[in-house]
Amino acid sequence: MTRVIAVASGKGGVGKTTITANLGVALSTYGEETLVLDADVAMANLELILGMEGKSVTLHDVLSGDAEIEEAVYEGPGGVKVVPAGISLEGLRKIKLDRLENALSKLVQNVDILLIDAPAGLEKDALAAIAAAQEMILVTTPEVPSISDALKTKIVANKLGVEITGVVINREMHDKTFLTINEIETILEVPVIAVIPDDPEVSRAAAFGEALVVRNPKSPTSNAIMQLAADLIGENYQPIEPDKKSIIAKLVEGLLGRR
Amino acid sequence: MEMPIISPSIVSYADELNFNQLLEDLLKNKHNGFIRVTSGSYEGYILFKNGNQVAASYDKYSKLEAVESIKSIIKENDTLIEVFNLKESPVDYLINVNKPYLIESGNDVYDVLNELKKSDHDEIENPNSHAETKSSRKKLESESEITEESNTETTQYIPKPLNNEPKPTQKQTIQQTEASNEDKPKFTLENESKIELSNSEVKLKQSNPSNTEKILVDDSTYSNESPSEKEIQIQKDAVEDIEKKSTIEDESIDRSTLLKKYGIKEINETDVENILYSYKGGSIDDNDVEKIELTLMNKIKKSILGIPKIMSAEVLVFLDNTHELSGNTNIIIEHESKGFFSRMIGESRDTENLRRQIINIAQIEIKKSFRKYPEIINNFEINVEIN
Repeated sequence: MTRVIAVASGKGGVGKTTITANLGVALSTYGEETLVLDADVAMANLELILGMEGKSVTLHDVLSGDAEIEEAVYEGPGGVKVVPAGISLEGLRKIKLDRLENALSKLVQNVDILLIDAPAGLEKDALAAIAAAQEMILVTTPEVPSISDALKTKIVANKLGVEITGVVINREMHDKTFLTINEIETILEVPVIAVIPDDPEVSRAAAFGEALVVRNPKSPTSNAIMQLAADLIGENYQPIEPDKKSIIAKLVEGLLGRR
Repeated sequence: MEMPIISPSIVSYADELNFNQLLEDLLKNKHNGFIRVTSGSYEGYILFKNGNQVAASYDKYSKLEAVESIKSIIKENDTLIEVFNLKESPVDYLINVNKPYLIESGNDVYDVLNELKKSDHDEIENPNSHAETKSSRKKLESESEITEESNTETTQYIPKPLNNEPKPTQKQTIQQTEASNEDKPKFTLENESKIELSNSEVKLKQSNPSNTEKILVDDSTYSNESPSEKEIQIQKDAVEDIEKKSTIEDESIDRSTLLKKYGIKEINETDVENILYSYKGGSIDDNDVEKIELTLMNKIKKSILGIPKIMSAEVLVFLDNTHELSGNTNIIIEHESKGFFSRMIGESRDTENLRRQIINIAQIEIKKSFRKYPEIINNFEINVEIN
């Protein structure tokens, strides 16, 4: 049976889309037929992170009634299937979210895991994305506003009958000014299933339009996401240690242009 | 109570040690340090400064209650008593960090302790008979060796079983003792001012028997030697451990306290219902179209009938939801006829004004019905027929 997992956050800008994109690629590398659907029709970013912008048919077209969902499925890095939302705001008003449910029912027929990148907030579009899922991963940063919004999202999701799989803490900086993992667990009453460190590699990968787990699998963030993916499907993951080259070796490589 | 992780100078089961004699001798010797009393999973502490009990805790109790609780458990077989020595400055620091447990001056705790001493007066041992530990327990024997090595200033006691107490059957694990091997790092507390970490930085916490890296305070190391870098590093590591433990303690704060601490408001049931209502109501289902039409008809009709001289009004609303919500509104009104002269002067102008007024009213009602989507009015065609 296909697992439909919404990745939601409450607050925007916590790295939800980045985690969804990379988690989708990670699940795909484990051999799971994974489809990532960007339900953030107003602020679509998934296609930028995966370098898949400019696709002719998107979720916009499907929700507007101008295309079938099968036409909007594309193959992304690592074999992951992607339904981009479509970046253009043109025709946003034509969208009918009722059609999302119908589109999802068609998508689940051919995949093991369907990841939905839900929009931030608790507007109609966000709720439609959450309500369409069976499970939800709550993404938050260890900051108070983010936790506060995540709490609201969790409560509403519970009301919609969606099971909360766990919380992913993104951009963890081990700073005492932020909430601790246990504090977050206590407030949200949901277990923390992954802690993603703050990593400049994420921004670099996004700038290149590549999934971080593909571009830099040795980075701490990649390891954390691969571990999360493994935990979701009950697999084992052995973290990839970064190369421990000496400064001189790196300097020589740099001079020789091998980097 | 917050206590440092150090090695005890005396370790004994309660049935092998005269607790009252111990208290007397600690007072006599102006002891600085603390004693830990462990019974099962509960721990009690009494902090001493110059031989006086200055703070106490046991399980959830503090101050006098804690002392009374400790009194009640010292006769139990498996109660373990450990004596820890400190210099005066760490004691001052511990007094500072354990303010909630301070036994205030004038408190009747001393009376209780005196009573305690009197009650077991016969069992008082000679404080000077402190050569070796005669404990039958192997673990305690090893501890007694450490006690000998430590060469403490505090008087040591021979743990001797009380006559009226049965032999313990349950062996108390003395990890503190096991931890104090010679290969363990040692550092002095005497030269604390020379160590980078100030007292305020060093958050000494309650000792944890499971902690593998323990700080040993051995009187033999009470010298004027300044600590090496390694020793400082060990202390830093210990502080880090303590901070970790502090974090764990913070985490045990209950949820309501945390929500209050961070100013996070929990969303109430009504708000959730409102959010869900906007979600369910915001998306127009085809089944809802008829209901919307009926609602709009009634609203527009009611408003139009408020215009003077309107005798009757019929409103028909047709919505189209196939692509984007749009509608057609037909309004038929009947109004009072005017006299012939009036009709001659300006009937046409009045009729036009009335038509415009009715259209405005209908538009307002439509906008009011779609508050979050006022642009919908552009998708409505309104026709007015006046009879």
